[in-house]
Order: sequence, then C-alpha cells, then structure tokens
Amino acid sequence: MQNEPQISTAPEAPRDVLALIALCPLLAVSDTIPNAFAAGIAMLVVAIGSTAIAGILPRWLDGELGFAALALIVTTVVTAISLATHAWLPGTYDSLGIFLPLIVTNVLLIVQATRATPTRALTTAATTAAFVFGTMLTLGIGREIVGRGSVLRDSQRMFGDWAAGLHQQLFREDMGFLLGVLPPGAFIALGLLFAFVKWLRRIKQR
Amino acid sequence: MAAKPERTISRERIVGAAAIVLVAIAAAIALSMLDRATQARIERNAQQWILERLNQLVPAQERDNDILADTVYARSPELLGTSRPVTIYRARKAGQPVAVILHTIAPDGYRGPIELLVAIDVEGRLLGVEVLRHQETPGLGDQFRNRNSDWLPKFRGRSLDDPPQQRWAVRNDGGDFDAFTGATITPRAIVKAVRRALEFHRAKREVLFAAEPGSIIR
Repeated sequence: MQNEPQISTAPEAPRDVLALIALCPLLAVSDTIPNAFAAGIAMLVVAIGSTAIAGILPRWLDGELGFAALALIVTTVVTAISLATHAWLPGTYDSLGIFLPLIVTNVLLIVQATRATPTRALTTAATTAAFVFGTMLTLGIGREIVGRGSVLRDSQRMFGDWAAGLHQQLFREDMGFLLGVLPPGAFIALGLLFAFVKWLRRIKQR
Repeated sequence: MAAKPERTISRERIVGAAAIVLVAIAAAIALSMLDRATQARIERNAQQWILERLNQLVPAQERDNDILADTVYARSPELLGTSRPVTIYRARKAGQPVAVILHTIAPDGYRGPIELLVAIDVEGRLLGVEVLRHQETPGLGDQFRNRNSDWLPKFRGRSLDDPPQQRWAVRNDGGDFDAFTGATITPRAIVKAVRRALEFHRAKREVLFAAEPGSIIR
C-alpha cells in the first residue's frame, strides 16, 4: 500500500452548514413559541456551559481524546439541566423532558468544530447557538400560527401564571393547518425559511 | 509489506486515558450530587401533580383522607387489559367510602399506551375521566384536549348500565360514543379502558375499600 488513507478528524465544514445539521434533532419541539423558546434557551446554556467547562481541559488533550472528553462534558451538562428542570421547572419539563437529551447531538456538532483558544471557542459556540436559537424561535412562531392559529399558547406552563394572558388566538384552532404542528411540518418550515433567506441574499447581491 | 505497527503504548496515551477517566469521575460525582439535591423535590412535584388531577375528579371537600397514601394496586390483566399494576386511589369521608380513582392504562393507543385517571363513585357511576399522558398524534389523536374538549366530560355520570355494556364502544363499532374526525383508534382505546375500569370496579367493589393500603388486588 502506497497511499495510507488519511483519517480525517472533523472536516472543517462551513459553520452555517454545521448549525443547520445541529438544528435537526431539536426541530420537533419547535411546534409552539414557548416550546421553541425553552428548547433554544436550554441549548444555549448547554453550548456555552460545556464550552466553558471544556476550556479548563489541558490543551494537549485534543483529537479523539479531546472529543471523548467533550462528549462526557456535554452529556453531563445536559443531564444536569434535565434534572434541574425536572426539579424546579416541572411545567417546562412536562413539555420538553424527553427532548432535552437530544441537545447532546445538537451541541456536540456546534462545539466540536471549534478547536481554538477558550475565549474564541466560547464566542464561536455562543454565536452558533444563538443562530440556532433564532431559527428555532422563527420556526416556533411560524408553526404555531399556521398549525394552531395562536401565539404563545400554554405559555403559563413554561413561564408561570403571569404569562397566561399572553396567549392570543388569531383564528379558530380548527382552521389550523395540521401539517404545521406535526413533526414533518418542522422540516418543511425549515426548508421554506432557508429558501427565503437565500432569496433575500440574491436580492441583496443585485 | 508495511513495517510492523508500533506495539508499545506511548506515554501520552496513558496520560490521555487517565485524563478521560478523571473527567468521567468528576462528571459522575457532580451528577450524583445534583441527583441527591433534586430527588426529594422531583418526588414532591410528581405528588403535587397527581394530587391536582385527583382533586379535579374528586374535590378535596368531598373527602377527608390522605388520598395519596390510601392506595391499593390492581394486577388484573384479564379485567383491566394491562399487565402493569394499576394504582387505585381511595377517597373516604368520615371513614365512609366515597370514590376510587384508577390510574389505569389504555394499552392500545395509536402510538402507545395512554395513561388515564378514571374516577368511579361507590354506586359504580363515573365521576370523570382524565388523560394523564399520551403520545397520540397532535391535532388528530389528541382532540380531547382542544377540538373535542367536551368529549371526556361526557363520561361523567355514565355507568355499566348507561349505556348498556354492549354499547360501550365508539359509534363505528356500534356503540354510543363519538369518535374523532380522522382518529378512531384513540377514542376506541379510551372507551375500552374506561369500560374495563368499570368492569373491574363491579367485580371487586367488595374488596376495594376493605383492602389494606399498599396491598395488591388480583
């Protein structure tokens, strides 16, 4: 054998592509604004928290070992957040509980690509996570309006009793387009969103 | 032929492996501490959660016992249709039986079991039915939550004589209960589970209140 196959660790994919893939596991919970908001916040906390903790790892711990350590850290942070939510925010846990573990894959994809100084890693993770958060929220708004004809439904379960008045019904729920609420609707909505962004970019270029 | 691969394990590898083990130990310690700190609270939340729902079915002023502690378990697959033990909460007032609430399971939901609370008074009449947990398709199978929110309340006051036992089914199956538009399996599963709870009540009504708390009724 002359050419040893190169083992490529983590190809440097463009960040928006990674962020796009990182979105997928969480997409299902973007069916209402409160759900999308809570999932996005949880993801932000995990991304920033695990990157910060990973920053204290010694620099020589990189490559496969570094990834293993990072995976351990991310899963630990996610489990911790899941326990804390279960104990102190039971309403949020009711709607998000089973989806919280999915954040692991989500965040690993975001954090993995950054092998820089701790501060740079932190800013990169934070901006990517913020991008994912923004996309989740946009999808949440779109899907809740299309699927249920409402805005901020059930927000008191998420944010406490003061939020009960935030719920606005725009049109009768029966008129809602079911696809908006069902999981496949999330992917269709995401596709539409990206088509829209691309269209905006093209217009700008002209 | 390529050279024999290096067999000696380098120092860096050992140090690296040790580092991973250390990270794992630190993670385990942190998580077990957090688990201990949250456990009691999580348990209290769960009790509070179920108590709120029990109170919706049998209001607190209609009973005076500690309903969360006054429980028995039913293990009766042939009557209840589930092999899982069913928790039965007993409501009493001044020592007199008021109602039982069965935390039962409709095993044949569209996308998995549906957890129900079925409240039955001493006469065998339904006080109410609540869905605790389900995985039914949003918008279709979960219409009892929104579009058909008057569906579950219709069980109130029903018993095995009203409608007659053979009409305890959804309309498509020749019964008295409406199905949902686009979803028959979910209502069918719920009606069946409620009927089974009533049948269990009829068969075991003698022992339901006499059994020691914590005992299993078969």
